[in-house]
Amino acid sequence: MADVDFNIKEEMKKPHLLTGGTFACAGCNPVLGIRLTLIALGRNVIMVNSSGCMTLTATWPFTPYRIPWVHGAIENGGSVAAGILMGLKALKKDKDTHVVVYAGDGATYDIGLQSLSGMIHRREKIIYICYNNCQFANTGHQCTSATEKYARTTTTPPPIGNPLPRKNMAKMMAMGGADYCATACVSFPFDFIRKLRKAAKVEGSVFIDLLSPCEPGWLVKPHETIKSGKLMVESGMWPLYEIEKKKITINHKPEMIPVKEALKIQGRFKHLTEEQIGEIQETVIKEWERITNGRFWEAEEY
Amino acid sequence: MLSKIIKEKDIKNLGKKGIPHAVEKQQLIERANWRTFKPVIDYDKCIKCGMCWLHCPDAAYDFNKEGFPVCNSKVCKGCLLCVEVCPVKCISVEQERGKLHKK
Repeated sequence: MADVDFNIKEEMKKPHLLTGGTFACAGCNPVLGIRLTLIALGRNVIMVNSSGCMTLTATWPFTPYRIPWVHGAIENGGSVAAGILMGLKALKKDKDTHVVVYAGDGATYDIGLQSLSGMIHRREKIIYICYNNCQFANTGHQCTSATEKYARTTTTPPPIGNPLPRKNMAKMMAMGGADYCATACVSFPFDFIRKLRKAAKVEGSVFIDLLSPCEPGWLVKPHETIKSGKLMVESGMWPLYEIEKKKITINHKPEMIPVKEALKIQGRFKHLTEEQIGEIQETVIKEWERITNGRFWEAEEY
Repeated sequence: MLSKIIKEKDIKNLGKKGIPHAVEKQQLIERANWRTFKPVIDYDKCIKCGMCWLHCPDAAYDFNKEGFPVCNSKVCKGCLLCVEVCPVKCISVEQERGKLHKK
């Protein structure tokens, strides 16, 4: 928290910008991600939502938001936000208003990739947050390209699970020209808030990949969602870093606990054999070697 | 079309804040019937750190005049994340529903 000041005692006095009573599951971490976003950025936010779980938070005639909120289709989060930004520019109100896209990993990694890459290519001043729960949670936990290798989803059932490793979206967007790229996790709220406050000052496009555990999808208990996210980070499976001008900074040094501990509490990895766990552990160690030895930009081996 | 809606809905703050709020006064929808367990705070142990407030997905925590957290029982869904994240473990769990099936 060196470069950004965040005083929790002052934030506690402010009213909730996202109220309760939503349709989200008990212990839903993506909703918590919205709350943290609004705590970090304040009231001057226009939020664009791509179709996903978080669309169900505001169902007509009810809305839990005390900020302007727009629902686009699943594939055009970036372009809807670009249109809003253009309107704000015409009204000369783009200086103090943040346009935030809050889209799921299906809408970011798979379906909405074209609008996101267009937005990044045009260097629009938009903060794009992908709440990454590693599956299409809204439609019934299908596999996306954000799903971990060997994870169980409804389209990749056990005993094999998902045969493909996930793609590294933050790296991809940084190469594509985003001015600030970061990975975050809901279980580390101060880190996420710090990154958002930093992103608010950036004159250019921002991409934040926010890992947010999903309790029915990851098959964890509602109160274990924060813990499972923490274990994902501490085991090294989800590195927390930020990329500015092609320079990578690691924000949290994990304890590198065995991957087995992190996989144990998630029901979607229950079918794994010892060999498969060993393979995941090997790839995690290899990835960390690459990051710490300055070989982050090299192509990944498959 | 927009001006007609603005007249009908009596939206006053257009132009001042940029975009009008569709709902001026929001009402909380009750989600208390989703809950099996509820958190109970021990105020003797509480250190007012605000971690329960920060981690609650349903924004159920508010603060009273002394600065202690109070759980809004209307919107709490009983996910018990607050119990998990409390650094001094001052929140305990109480069963509300499902007592009939207990042997």
